[in-house]
Amino acid sequence: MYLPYHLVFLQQPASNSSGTNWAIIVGTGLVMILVVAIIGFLILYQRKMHRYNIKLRVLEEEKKQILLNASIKFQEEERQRIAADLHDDAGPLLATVRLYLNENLIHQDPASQLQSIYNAKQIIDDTIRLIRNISHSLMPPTLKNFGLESAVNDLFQKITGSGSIYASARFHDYKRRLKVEQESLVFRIIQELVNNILKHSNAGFIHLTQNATATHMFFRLNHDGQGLTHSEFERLNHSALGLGLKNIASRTEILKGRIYFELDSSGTYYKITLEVPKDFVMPANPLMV
Amino acid sequence: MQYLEKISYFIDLLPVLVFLLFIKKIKEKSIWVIAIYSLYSFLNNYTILQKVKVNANVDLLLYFFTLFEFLLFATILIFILDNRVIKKLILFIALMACSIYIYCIVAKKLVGFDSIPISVECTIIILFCLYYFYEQLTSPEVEFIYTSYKFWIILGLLLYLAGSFFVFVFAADLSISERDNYWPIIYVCGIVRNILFAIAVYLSTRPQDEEPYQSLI
Repeated sequence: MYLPYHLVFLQQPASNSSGTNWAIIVGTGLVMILVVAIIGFLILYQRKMHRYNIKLRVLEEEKKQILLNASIKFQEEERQRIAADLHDDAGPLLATVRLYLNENLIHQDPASQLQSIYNAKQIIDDTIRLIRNISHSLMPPTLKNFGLESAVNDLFQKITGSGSIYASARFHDYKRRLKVEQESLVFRIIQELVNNILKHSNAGFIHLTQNATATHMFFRLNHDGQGLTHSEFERLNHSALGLGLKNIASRTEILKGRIYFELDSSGTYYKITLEVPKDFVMPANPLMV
Repeated sequence: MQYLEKISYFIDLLPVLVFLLFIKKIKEKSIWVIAIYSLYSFLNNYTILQKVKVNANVDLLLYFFTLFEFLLFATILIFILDNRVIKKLILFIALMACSIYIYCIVAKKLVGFDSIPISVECTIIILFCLYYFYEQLTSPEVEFIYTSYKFWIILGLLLYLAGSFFVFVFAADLSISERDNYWPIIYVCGIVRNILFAIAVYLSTRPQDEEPYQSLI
C-alpha cells in the first residue's frame, strides 16, 4: 500500500496549507512518542510485577519452610514427651513390679508372697492405666470410634469437670460426618486452640458451635478471655514463636481450609472460625496428622 | 530517498523469507497470516509498479489492498487476543467496515486517495492493539511480554499504523511534491513493521524457556 501511493492519484488537486503540514509533523511525532511511552510503561510495569512475584514466591517458600520446621519440631517434642512418659512413669513402675516378683519371692512366707503379688498387681494396673492415658493422648478412642462430635464433647466435659472453666459444644449440622483424616485434623486443631485458651487467655468459658453449608463445614470457638486477632495470629505464625499456632496453620493448610481469629464487635469475647471443605483429598504425604 | 523506497519495496519479503526458513516449526496461525500479508503486499506493489510504468489505472488495486490489509490485520488480532467477546467484536466491525468499503468501491463513491477508509482502518486496529496491552497488563501470567511473538506483531502493527496515520489522513489534501516530502515516513514505518514481523516469525519458532507461572496474588 505504502509504496506507490505518491506515484498514483496524480489527478489529485494540490490544496496545500501550512496547517496540514504542521498537523502531519506534530501528529505523527506525538503519536509515535505516545506509542513508545505506552510500550516503555508496559515493559517497566511487567518487570516490576515480575520482581514482585518472585519476592512473593520467596516469602511463600519461607512460610512453608517455617511450617515444615514447626511440624518437625512438634513431632520431635511429641516423641520426647511419649519417651519421657514411658521412661519416667512406666519404666519405674515396671521395675518395681520386677522387684516384687524377684527370685526371693519363693523363699518368703505365704503371707508376704500374697502381699507382694497383690502389690505387683496394683502396680501393673497403674501401668496399664498410664499406658492407656498415653495412648488416648495420641489418639482419643472416642474420636476413632464415635467421631468428632463425641470426641469434642468428651474433651469439653473433661475440661468442665476440672472446675476451672466452663466448656460446651453444639453441633448443629453434623449428620454427614467428615472423613476420618479430616476429623482427626480438625480435632487436633480444636485441641490446640483449647489448650492455648486454657494456657494463655484466662477465659471463663469456651463455646464451640458447628455449622455446615453444601460445600463447607464451619467450627467456631468463642471464649471470653484474652485472645488473638488475625493480624496477631499472622505475626506469631511468621515469627520464631508460636509453635502451636504454626501447627494449627499447617493442619489447616493440609485440610485446604481457612482459619480466622477475631474479636467480637461487642469487644467482649474472641471468635476463632475454622472453615473446612467437605470434599477433601488427603495429600500424599501430610506432614503431621 | 530512492534507496529507502527500494528497501521498503523488497523488505516485504523479509518476513516471508524467515517464514520459509522455519516453516516446519511454525504452528501459529497468526504467523501464517503475517506471511500471507507480506507476500500479498510485495506482489501488490510489484503489480502496481508494472501498471504505473504503462500508465494503467491502479486505483482498484490500491482500494482492494486497503480492504485486504484491514481484513488480514483483523484476522491477526482475532488469533492473538484472548477475550472471546472482543474477538467477536473485531469480526463484526471488520465485516461491517468491509461491507461499507466494498459498497463504496462498487458504487464508485471513492475518488482519489482513500484517506477516510485508511484512517478508519488505522483507528480500529490501533485501538485493538492497545486492548492487547491492556489484556497483558491484567493477565495473571508474568512471562515477559517481549518474549512473546505476539508482542512483536502488535508492536509492528502499532508503529506502522500510528506512524503512517497522519500522513494517510492528510494525503488527499497534499500535492505530489508534498507527498514526496512525507512519504519517507511511510517507508520507514513499513520497514520497521517488516523487521518486527520477521522477529515475530522467528520468535514463534522458539520453544518457551520456562512455563509462565500463576501470580500468587
